[in-house]
Parts: sequence; structure tokens; C-alpha cells
Amino acid sequence: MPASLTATRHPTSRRPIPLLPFAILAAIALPYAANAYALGFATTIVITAIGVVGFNVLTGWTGLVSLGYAGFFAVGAYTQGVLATRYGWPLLATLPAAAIVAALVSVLVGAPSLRLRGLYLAITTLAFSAIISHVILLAKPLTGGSRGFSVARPSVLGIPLRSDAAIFWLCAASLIFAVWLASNILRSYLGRAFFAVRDAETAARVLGVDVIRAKLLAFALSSAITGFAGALFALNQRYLNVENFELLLSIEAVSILIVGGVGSIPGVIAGTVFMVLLPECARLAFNAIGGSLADLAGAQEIRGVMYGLVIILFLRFAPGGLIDFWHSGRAWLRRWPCTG
Amino acid sequence: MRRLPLIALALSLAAAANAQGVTDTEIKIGGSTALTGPGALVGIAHDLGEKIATAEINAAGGINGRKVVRVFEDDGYVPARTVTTVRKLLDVDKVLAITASSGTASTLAALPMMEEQGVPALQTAAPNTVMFSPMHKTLFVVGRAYGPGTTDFVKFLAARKPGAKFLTIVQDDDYGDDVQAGYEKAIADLKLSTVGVLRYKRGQKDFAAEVLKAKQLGATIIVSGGIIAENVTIAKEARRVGLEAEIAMLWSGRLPQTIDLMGEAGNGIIAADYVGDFDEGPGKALFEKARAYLTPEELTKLNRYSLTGYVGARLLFDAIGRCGRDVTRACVVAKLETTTNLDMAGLTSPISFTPDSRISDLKLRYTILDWSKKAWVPIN
Repeated sequence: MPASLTATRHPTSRRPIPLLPFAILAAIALPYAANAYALGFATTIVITAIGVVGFNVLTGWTGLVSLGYAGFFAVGAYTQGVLATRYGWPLLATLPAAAIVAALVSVLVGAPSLRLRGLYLAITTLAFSAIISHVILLAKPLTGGSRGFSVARPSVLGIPLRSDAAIFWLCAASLIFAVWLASNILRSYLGRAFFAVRDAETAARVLGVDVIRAKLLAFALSSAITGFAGALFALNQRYLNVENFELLLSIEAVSILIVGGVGSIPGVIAGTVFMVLLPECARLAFNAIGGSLADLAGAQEIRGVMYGLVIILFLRFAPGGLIDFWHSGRAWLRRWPCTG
Repeated sequence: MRRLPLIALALSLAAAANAQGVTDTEIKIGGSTALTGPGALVGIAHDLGEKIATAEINAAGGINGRKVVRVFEDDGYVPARTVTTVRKLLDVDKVLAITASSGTASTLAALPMMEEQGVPALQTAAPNTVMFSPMHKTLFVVGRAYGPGTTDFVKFLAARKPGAKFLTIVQDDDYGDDVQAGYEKAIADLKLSTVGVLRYKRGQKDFAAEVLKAKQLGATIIVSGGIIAENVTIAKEARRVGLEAEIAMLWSGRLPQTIDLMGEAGNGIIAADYVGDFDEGPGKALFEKARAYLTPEELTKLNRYSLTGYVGARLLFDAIGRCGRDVTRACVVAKLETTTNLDMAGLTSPISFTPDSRISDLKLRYTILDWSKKAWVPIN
């Protein structure tokens, strides 16, 4: 396992960036300025960011390397889909339910995994994702099996969430909430306990940290946020199929953490924007260059190649991720013009 | 000068009559399928079939004087990506119609978006019952549905080999469900002898257990309900264990590439399909024509999915053509649903739809694999 996944600085050592007002204004304005395709991309970025903010709690802060992201994401998505479509639950009930069900499932996985670390935990959580896929296929009356099913877009307080703009605003508001929640956890006793468990489990125990409780809470919190993101994914996609929750989704989450900067919330956001836009930017660049590269422009395989390449490059040359560039840039500007 | 506003008004009204993706000089259509990854064998072939049809119609002056422009996206056969690519086709490329959206799950994933915008859409690669039952107003399925197709096929096999003991091996998904339903209907209709229905997990690579079970049960005809790799593995495994049963498969396994993959084990396999081949009859004529439009490398990638792609594109062009100069999505849908016995020059049986039906239900033809010729030979 790369060192950067288990040894990063405590993110509270940096002052938060006051970007919230700008982010809110941008989120409000975007649907008016962007076409549906761009808005679709923005919604994907926001949903992915929420999911990885949750994943960061478990892997970035607590040092428990998980490949179960796709499984928890799927649990949230199917909870939303089933409750809204089959039982007609309102959105204000389905979204919390998706988070709660994902958290409960994570405790079931987390409890037997408490003694596992590193590769062993990664394999256990990977197996969990595979089990979830099989459960989805078997629970045909609820999930539609391999065929999947269409997800109803519900109303909020009588206002139907039909437009893509409405879904985007809901997702953007959820991201702000998820970041606020994660930032507060980070500054709490629990956040410090997570870091203590990650950096020196025995020392944490000696200092009075309840390691088992901390690990289980990390599992539950992480999965609740990831499950919530899954619920938003179901609302946005409007159709659920087990093929949407394959291993690549978990690998994508790990990539975003590495590229953004393990443990950092702004890093997660930056990493998500970078990784989601990378294939699209490459497509535009290939098209602009033309020739045989233009033929590659739409190739989905290129996406996988680029993910791999970016991970290798970041691990080799910038293990601190994009957030380190930001900090270095700010430090350089602060010293300027007295820089050497 | 006084007439200028009137002329401008007339021009703007004329422009407004045309739908998104239609200008005075061109009509833009789009498709999304797997151009990379395991599904590329199907996706690339489909793309090339459409490419031939488009080049052909443009060479003949286009549709009512408008050239056809195609935009094709790769979704890697992943439903979530199909949603993104179809969204791009509709909102960025602003296409009039969608000619492909990968497989069943991908099409169903993109369907709400296409239905909301009233986009005429075709599905020619995966004629699954869920695509047209219940009916979706704007989605037209070209082919023979897996279920009824399997029923026809089993009845044909029974007539050819009376007293046969049937067995089917099907995938545990919607495709397998469709095949199994069709198989069981034929068995019930003709009171045939069936020794079993074996289901396998999607993605399974080893079929030794299923083939041995078939041998143990004494099956004499195995209806292989795999897709591409599964059919190849089942055929090879059957020959390896000395199973003498006749192996039959639906069109998804009937590709030139699978002949090489199966090797001699494929000799004598019977297949059903609703399109012909590129090496005989109308398919051969089309292949000769395609030489003008495709590169030598592209010609090697043609298979039955090129024919379904070609046929689908021609169907759409016919409907657009019948709209005259005022092409709108609603008009194209209306013309598609009133298509009656559209002649496909022998590549398929004539295509028809009705306002109440969105499946063209093409007639099946049967072929047997002749390994010595490396070709599918028609069975009379």
C-alpha cells in the first residue's frame, strides 16, 4: 500500500479556504449558464465528490483501506430507488434512509473486519462489494435483477424534482452539507481519534481512544455519506442497474483520494474535478489535434489508461496530491518577491 | 424593402418547422455503443454498418437534398456512460435521432431522457422483450425478440430432428430469462422432451460442469443461450468431453470471429438469425458496395451487427425521407410507426411497425457452420 495512503499530515493544520460564498453563487448560477450536458457533468462531479468525502473518512482519516466503496454506493442507490419507486416514500425520507441503511450495512461489514488492516481489509471489503452485486441480482422483485429498474424522481414539499437543474441544486446543497459535516467531525474528538488510530493504533489505545468504537464509527460515517451519494446518483440517473457499481467505481474513489491528497477535504473536491474532467479534456484535446488521435477521442478505454497513468505519476512525483500544489503555491506567494 | 420582414418571418417559420439536428443542408443523427472493450466486436461492426448506409445515401444526394451527418460515441457498454453519451448527443451535438444505445440495460438507462425529448430511437443490436413490452412511444426495435426467436428456433430444430432430447444453458439475466421463456414455450407447444434448463452466472468462463451435466442427462440438442464467449466455450467443452449432442445458438454467437475462436469444435453448429451474411446473396452485394466507403481494415471488422446497423439506418432514413422538407422528431416517429413492408433488398425480411407495436419481428433464417469453408451455410 502506498505510503501516502497511510501517512499524511493532519488536515486541520491548514486554515480552511473561505470559498463557500463563491461556491454557493456558482452552484445557483450554473444551471442558467450551462447546457444540459455540462450540467450533467457538474452533477456527476458533485455526486462523486460527496461519495469520496465519505470514503475519505474511512481511508484517508482512519487509514482503513477499503475497496468496498462501490458496494456502499450501490446500497444507497438501491435504497433510494426501491423506497421511492416501489413504496412511494418522499425524498425527505428516502435520502436519510439511504444513509442509514448504508451505515447499518457497513457496521455488519466493519465488525468482523476490525482486526484486519491493509491488504486484508481491502480484500474483505472487495468481497463485500461482490456480495452486494449478487444480492441485487437475486432480489429481483425489488431490484429488477440484472434488468434493473427506472427510478422515480420524487417531490420535495410538493415541488417535483423533474428538471436536471433541480437535481443539481439538490446535489450541490448536499455537497455543502457533507463538507460541513466532515469538517466538523474532523475538528472534533472523533476526528482526532480517527487520525490517532491511523497513525499509531497502539499509542491511541494507550491514550484512551476506544479503537473499536472509532473504527466502527469511521465505517458507519463513511458509508452513510457514500450511501447518500449513491441515493443522489439514483435520482440523477433515473435507472439503476448492477453494472453501474463495478470494481472500477471503487478504484476511481481511490484514484481521487491519491490525486487530490489523502485525508484532505479540499483535496477530495479538487481530485474529483480533475479525475472526472480528465477524460473529457483529453477528448477535446485529441479532437483538436486531429489525425489518428481524433479516433481515440471517444474511446472509453483511454479513460482507464489515463486513470492508471495519473495515479502512477502522482504517487511518484506528487504523493501529497493536488492539495499540496495549492499549499506550495500559497506559501510561495506569501514569500514573494523574497523567494529564492 | 417592405417585403423584407415578411421574407424573414417566412424563413424563420420554415426553420422552426424543422427539428433539432436538421438544417437546410444536413440532418444530424447520433449513436452510442461500445467502440472499445469486450463489446467492441458488436459496437464497431454496428458503427461500420451505419457508416455504409450513410455514405450510400449521401452519395445519392442525401435525404431530400440534405446530407446525413453522423456522430458516434463510445460508451464501453456501461449503462451509466450511455446516459452521459446520449445526453451529449442530444444536448451538445443536437442530433435528430438516436440510432444505437448499446445493450438492453444501456438503452433502458437512456430511455427516460430520449422519451422526454420525443427522440426517435432505434435498437437493432439487442431485441429484448423489455424494449417493446410495455411499448415505448419513440423506441423502435428491429429484429426478432429473443423469446419468440428461441421458440421458432426450437420448433425448427424439433422438426429437423424428431424425438430429440432438448436442454438449454442460459445466462442468469434478462437475456437468459427471455431465451428460457421462449425455450419453455416451444417445449410446451410441441410437447417436446426436455432434460433440463441450466442457468449460469453472468461472466462465467468455465462450462465444464454444465456440459458434463448435459452429457449425463442424455441431451441430444443443446440450445446454448450464451452471448459470444460463452457459446464458444460451451461448443469447445462439448467436443472436448465427447458430447455428441447438436449445439444450437442464437444470432449473438454467429460472428466470423467466433468461427476462428471455436475452431473445428464449431463444425455443425446450427444458428438462427434474422440477417444474412456478408459472403452470400444480398450481403455479398453490400460488401462489394462497402469497398467504396470503408478502408480494408474496416472491411475485416464487418459482421452481422454491421447488417443490423445498416438496416436500422436505412429504416430511419426512409422515415425521415417520408417527412419531406419539414422534418421533426414527431414526424419521424409517426412515419416509423407506419412503416409497412419496407424492403431491405433481401438483407432481412421486410420491416413493418404499427402504432401499437414497436418490434419489427423479422423472419428467422437458419445456418449451419461448415468448418471446412469457415462459413455459415444456409439450411433449406
